[in-house]
Order: sequence, then structure tokens, then C-alpha cells
Amino acid sequence: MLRNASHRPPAGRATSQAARRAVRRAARKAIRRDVRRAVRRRGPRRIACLAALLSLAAACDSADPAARRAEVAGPAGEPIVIGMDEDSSGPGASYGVPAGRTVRDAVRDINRRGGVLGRPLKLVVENDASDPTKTPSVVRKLLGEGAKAVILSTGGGSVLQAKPVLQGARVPAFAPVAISEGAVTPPNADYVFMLGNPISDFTKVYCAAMKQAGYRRLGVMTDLSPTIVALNRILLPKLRACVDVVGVEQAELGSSDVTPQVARLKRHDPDAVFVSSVGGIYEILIQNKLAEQMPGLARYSLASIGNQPGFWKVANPRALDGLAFMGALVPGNPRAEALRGFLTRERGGRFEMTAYDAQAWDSVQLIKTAIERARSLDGNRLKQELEKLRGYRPAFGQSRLTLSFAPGKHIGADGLCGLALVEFGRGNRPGGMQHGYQPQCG
Amino acid sequence: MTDLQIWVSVLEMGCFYGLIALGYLLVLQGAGFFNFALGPYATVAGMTTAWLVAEHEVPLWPAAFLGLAAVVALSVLTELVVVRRVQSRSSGSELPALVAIAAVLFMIEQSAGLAFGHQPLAGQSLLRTAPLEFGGVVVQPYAVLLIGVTVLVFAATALWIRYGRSGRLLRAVGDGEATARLLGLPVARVRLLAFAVSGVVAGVAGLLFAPKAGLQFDSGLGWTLNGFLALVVGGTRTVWGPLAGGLLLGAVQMFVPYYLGSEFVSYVVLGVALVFFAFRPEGIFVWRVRT
Repeated sequence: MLRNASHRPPAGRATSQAARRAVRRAARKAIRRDVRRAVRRRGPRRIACLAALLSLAAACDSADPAARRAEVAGPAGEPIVIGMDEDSSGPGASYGVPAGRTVRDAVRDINRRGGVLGRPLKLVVENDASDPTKTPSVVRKLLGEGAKAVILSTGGGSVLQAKPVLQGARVPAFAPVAISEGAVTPPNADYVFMLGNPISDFTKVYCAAMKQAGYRRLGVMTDLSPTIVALNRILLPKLRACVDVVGVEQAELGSSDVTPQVARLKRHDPDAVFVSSVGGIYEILIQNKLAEQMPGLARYSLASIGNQPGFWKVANPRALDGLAFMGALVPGNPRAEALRGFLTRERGGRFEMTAYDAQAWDSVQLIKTAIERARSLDGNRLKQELEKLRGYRPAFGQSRLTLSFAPGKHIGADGLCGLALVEFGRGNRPGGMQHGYQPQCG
Repeated sequence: MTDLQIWVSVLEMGCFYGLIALGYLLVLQGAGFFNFALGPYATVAGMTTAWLVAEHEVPLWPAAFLGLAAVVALSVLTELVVVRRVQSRSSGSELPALVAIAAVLFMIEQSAGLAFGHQPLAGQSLLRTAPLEFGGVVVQPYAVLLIGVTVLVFAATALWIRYGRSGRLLRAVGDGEATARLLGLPVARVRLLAFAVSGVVAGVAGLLFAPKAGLQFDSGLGWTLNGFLALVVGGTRTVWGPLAGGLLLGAVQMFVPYYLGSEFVSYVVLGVALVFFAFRPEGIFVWRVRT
């Protein structure tokens, strides 16, 4: 049994962040001062050069939240390199970025507390921009920089492309935000691990909930991102097995209007609509239109929209009211509350924790545990240690949820209670667990 | 074709594409040039406003003004720093300037990603009232503003070009730049004016359309292409042509997915473009001169 005491988020310390911000502010001031002097003394050519420098400085500065590369140093000794493929600029950035930010916080926290085996962790980050064709080269680059374990903070389509590269290099990886079990099913699945429940578990919950509510005719609205297209191959057949899917409408990512698709769904007169989307502004567009054109109709969604607080406020008033999504942050989990407290202290009062944060945090803790137990950085040893982990209590899911791994079981969640159906209330904010069916542990 | 809600969407899309196409027309009349950076201009106006409001809590109207100012500055700089210099060095040849403007398009897109982030931003609605609803048709406040302002912009532009002194100068330069120079007209100033006014129009389009579907740093390329297509369809002989082209394009983009499915939209739009390029390159509206 794995004890979690050592993984609990510590009390707040934000001094190093404040110091870094102060240094950046000072650097920006100095550059602006130089530009002003140049304008007075040196004329236009020098100004152009300084403008270029300023742009470069701005680029470096803006790298803080969505960095191409972040390096976190701490204890003495040769760093242990952890790679992260963080989708920070594609449609999957809506989940890749928050998870990536928590990975950085987790690594920083581990280093503050003495590192792993007395050595600091060093995080190297690359971005696949939600483009699965870029993922293999991104992962190779991370491995080339010495990554001993990789965190795939990107969509399921990209994880599929990372698998053969990781298999060939024998380097273990966690996919904290992936929900497609294709990530951990053969071929080339020996080194990839997932934490939360996969999409097949999602469909069990949706089907049970719709059956209990008496919904028989389901309309589906989906986007065409690579991640969702791959996900739908698993999702839709399973939904068809339990309800009558009366229509499936698609919209390109970047669509400006989904009125025709919603009008087509309306013609089928469904009892409920399911939205399969990467979330973000695209899902808001869909939910706005569904609420406008089919008010009062039951709506279900994947997990994304529930984990994107930044987008709730941009939905039309009450557009999310009644929408049920697959949540993984469940009230009553003490580890989630501890992590919420830690991250709030780190980031300030406006921070709103999501399941992505919890899963990213747990991924880093599991890698740390595996390295400590293996006392080695050999990829095969790390994989074996990960496969021996039992009973880890994560910061996501219901309080009784445990994660266990074994050869052939690379999805951590033991049972359905890593999930909960959560419903949006008035004010476009999650209002709590949906009444009716809820998944149980065991 | 009886679903009125889809017609509302046609009007929204048509007005937006029409405004971008009007921006093309103004630069074409004043400088004899296709400014393919208009889509990114619209993006920058919307993103600047959204970013200032969401990230820096700047009040909405000052933020919108700053967004428009940024776009006008970009548009004027495009003429002064890129188009004018490239054209003067290439003896007025169009191709080098077109290549340069394509580079400007991608530069603005990437810079917007750097400045405002690569995640989509939600557009800010300048009108925050309850949606209008009649007979089951819902019209959002941003749509009311977009449609109303579009009509005003087109009417004002038509009047300006017909009766305004600078508007008549724009037409004179557009009809023949060399002749205008011989006549001593301020060609350089007129070109600059054309770029500035088209920047305002594109900026207004971006600001008003942003609340509908949000903004992403790379939205501009698609908007550029749709605006250009609206111009091709509508024609360049009257100020109202771009609006007609925009509305036709909007109708295709809304009714094709409704009747045939989303997967056919690109094919049909491409087909429409090919038909116009092949059989009616001058667009729908043409001046007929009696002889």
C-alpha cells in the first residue's frame, strides 16, 4: 500500500516567484529606458535594433505560462530530467496548459523539498500544438535532452503518436489528461500510463445516467479536432449500444456558426444532446447555440468544459445552466482540498482548481515515487516500479478512489469513482453533483 | 430556407464578410492593390480589446478604441513600410508587393499569438442587453450591432465616395494613378487614407464579430480568404457589391451544412469561387455604360 503523506502539497511559499517577477519587471524597465535613450540619441536604425531586442525580451517574458522550455532547478547534484510535451498553442491548449502549469508547480515543490534521491528535477518542455504529426519529433527532442520520464500534457491523438517513440526508447510516460484507452492498449503501450478513467468508463456512466433519466433518443454534436475524432471512434459505438443516436452533427474547429448543425439536430427531436468537444471557445459556441435553440433540453458533455473556468464566464447568460459534464474533482476528497490550498497560495486568490491540475500533480508524484523506489533512472526499472504501485490515493476522483498499476493495467483508476456527473447551475458555474445516477467505487 | 434562425446567421456572416470585402475595395480603389492583411487586422482589433478587458480590466469602450487605433496604425504602417517601398523598388510591379503583404499577414498572426497568447479569447460584446426573441427566432445583441453598424458603414462609405472630397479623390486615384499624378493630385496621401479607412473598417468588423465565435491568433487567414471571395462574388464596381458578395457567401456557408451536411461546405464554397473566377470575374455588380 502506498502512503500519500509525502505527496501532500506543502504550506505556501511564493517568494521565488515574486523574485523572478521583480527581475523581469526590472529587465523590462531597463529595456524601455534604453529604447527611450536611443530615440533621443541614435536615430531610427538603432531603434529598429532595439525594437527587435524588445520583441525578443517580450517573447522570453511571455514564456512563463506557456513556455517552450522551463527549467526548474533546486538541490545540488546532477538534475534528473523530466520531459513534458505540453500542448500550449493548439485546440488542446485548453487542457494542456493548465496541466502543464501544475506540473511545473509540482516539480518546483519537489525541488524545494530536496529533490528526488537528493538530486533536483529538471523539467524540459516542448509543444506539439495539438498536431499529432508533430508529436513524435517533439518526444524525440525531449528524449534527446535526456528525459528519463515524460509527461504527455496533450490530447489522446498525440499520445497515440508518442507511443512508438517511447516504446523504442524504453522511457515511461504519463498522459494525465488523456481519456482514450488507445493510449495504453497495444501495440507500443508498455511504457505509457494513464491516471483517470478512460472513455469506455465515461460511456458506462453516461448510459446509466440516461437510462435512469429515461432518455432514449440522443443527438450528438462534435468537433473535428484530431483528439475528438479519435475519441469518437470509441465513444459513439458505445453510446449507440445504450441509446438511439438519432443524429451526429459535426463542426470544424474554428467554425464561426453552428446554427445549421443545431437546426439539423432539432429536426430529429432528441431527448438529450451529447457534446463531444475539446472544449474551449468552440464548445461555448455550441452550448450557446444549443441553449438558444433547444432550451430546456438535457445536455451532456465530456470533461473539458467543466475544467475550463476561464471559458464559463464568456458563455451567454445561463447558456450552461443544466449542462452535465464528467467531473473528476469531487467534493469531499481531502487531497484535492490540500492541493487546492497549495495551488491557491502559489498562484493567488483568483486560481480555480480543475481535475487537470489534480491529475498533473499526481503524475509528477507517481514518477517521483517510481524513481525513489527504483533508485535508478533506467526506463525499464521505472516502468516495473510503476507497475508495482498499488493503492495510491489521488487528488482527483471521489475520496475512496485508489490508483493501481500492473503489467497489462496501465490505467490507474480502480473503479468508476474517479468520475462524477457534475451539473452547471445558474451563473454558468458548476453547481454540484447531478441529481440521479452517480458512479460508485468498487 | 424557411428556418428564420438560419437567415439570422446568414445576415451575421454576410455582414462580417461584407465589411472585410469593403476594406479590400477601399484599398483597391485608392491604391490599386489587394491588401490581404485585412483578416489579421480584424483579429488584432478583436484580440486587443478582449485582452485589455479580460487581462487588464480596462473598461470596454476605451479598450475597443485602443483596438481600433492599433489596427489603423498597423494598416498605415503596412502602406508606409511595406507596400509603398516594395512597389517603388519593383517599378510598380504587383507581384513583389503581394508576396510582401502575404508575409505581413503571417507576421501579424504570429505576433498576435505572441502578444495575446495562443489560446482562443472570448470576444467582448459592445452591446450588453438581453437577446431579442420573436416567433422562436433569437437575435443576440452582438448580431443587432453587427448588422446595424454594417448598414451604417456601407451607407457612409457610399456617401463619402460619391460626395466627399477625399472620397472623390480616392476614386480618381483608383481610376488611374498615373493620370492622377500628372494632374497633381496627392496620390501618396490618398493611398494612405485608403489604407487607414480600410483598417478602420476591418477593425470594426473584427470588434463586432468577435463575440459571436471568439478569437484565435490565426483566425485572420480564414477571414482574409472569405472577405476576398465576397469581393470576387460581389464585384468591385459599387460600394454595395462586397455586401452582396458577403451575404451570398454567408448563405452558402449556412444553408449547405443545413441541407447537405457540414462536410460539403468547403467543396461548395470552392465551387462558387471557381464559377465566379471562370465565368464572371468582374463579380455580380458591374457598371453598364451606354454607348
